[in-house]
Amino acid sequence: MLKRPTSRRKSGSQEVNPNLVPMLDALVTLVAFLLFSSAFLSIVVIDTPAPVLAPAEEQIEKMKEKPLQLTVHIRPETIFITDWSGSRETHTIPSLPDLKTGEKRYDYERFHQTLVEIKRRYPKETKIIFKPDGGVSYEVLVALMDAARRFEKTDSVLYKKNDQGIDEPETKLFSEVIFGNIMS
Amino acid sequence: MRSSIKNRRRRHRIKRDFDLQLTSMMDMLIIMVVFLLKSYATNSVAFATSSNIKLPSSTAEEIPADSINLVVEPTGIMFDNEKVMDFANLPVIPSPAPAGFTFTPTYEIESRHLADYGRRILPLYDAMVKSRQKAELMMSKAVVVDPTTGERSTPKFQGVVIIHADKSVKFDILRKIMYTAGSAEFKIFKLVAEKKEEA
Repeated sequence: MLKRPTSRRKSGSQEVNPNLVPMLDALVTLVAFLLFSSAFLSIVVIDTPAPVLAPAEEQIEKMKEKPLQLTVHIRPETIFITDWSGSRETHTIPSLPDLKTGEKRYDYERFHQTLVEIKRRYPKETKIIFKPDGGVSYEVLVALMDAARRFEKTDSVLYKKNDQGIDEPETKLFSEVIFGNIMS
Repeated sequence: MRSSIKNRRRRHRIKRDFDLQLTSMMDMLIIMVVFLLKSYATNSVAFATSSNIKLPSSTAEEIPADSINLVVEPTGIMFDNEKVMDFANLPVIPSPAPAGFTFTPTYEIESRHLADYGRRILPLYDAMVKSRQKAELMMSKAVVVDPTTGERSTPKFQGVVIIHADKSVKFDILRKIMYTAGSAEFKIFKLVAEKKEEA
């Protein structure tokens, strides 16, 4: 039986329009959820191991190698950098008056430059011991740790040999910061 | 003449349903979802940082891994999402606190909470020891297989603690916390800061 010509024409050209509204609803809900739960504040951490007292024999062995044991004493208005014996490195960095507030603040730039100079003399040294006074704030400690841990882009490049013996720029200054007066 | 043309146009205007073009909106939303999912995946660690503390800025790049959090709040110390101690000499805080209510934190610890000549915080030490024992018990039942050698071993307690503190907190209180953590066999401290965007 033949179909009527009108119905045959209509069946071939029907447009399919998917209903996008529920999908759109789901996507809007998902975007809202992700926006609310996303953290736009990037959080970072700075590693600092607790000082460990080595056995006496190990300590004697280490002392034979004459370690640098670079120590930073952070006093209320001064930073004092010294090595283990005080014979190789002794630097005093006084605080500066802030141009805006007039209050004294630590001279982070000079502290960093002093450490860069020391690193040039002892390129293999990676440890630094911090001995802050009790009144030093956490903000100051983090700023000093930042200044001590990394070379900045504006610093002159210090090269080191990699495993293949090729020179490459050193990025770390004294990357291992240890608080030396926690146990005392 | 003009009016007759207008009338004819009005007559010919067919009433149709208004179809909103949703495809372009869908495209935009899908791009947003993909972007948000990507950034969500990189920040997978849930942080218990208090909204009451202002973190210092740092140029450090290490992203925190999942670990035990210790938060120095203005009112007390939180360890592993539980308050272990309140600071001394706090002002009376109305409950619920009115909007904009602020006070200067003391960060003082009562002498009865201190041991080892004022260096160890007892309630924090107890909480940390409990946490370590729990972690060690769980680890003793776990087995780790070395992917290269295939050796099976029991994981060791790492003793990592993530310390969150307000930027105004003095080293005196941090030293006590670090000493306490060290006594409880937590030997690696990770100090939390907000990432400073480099110019």
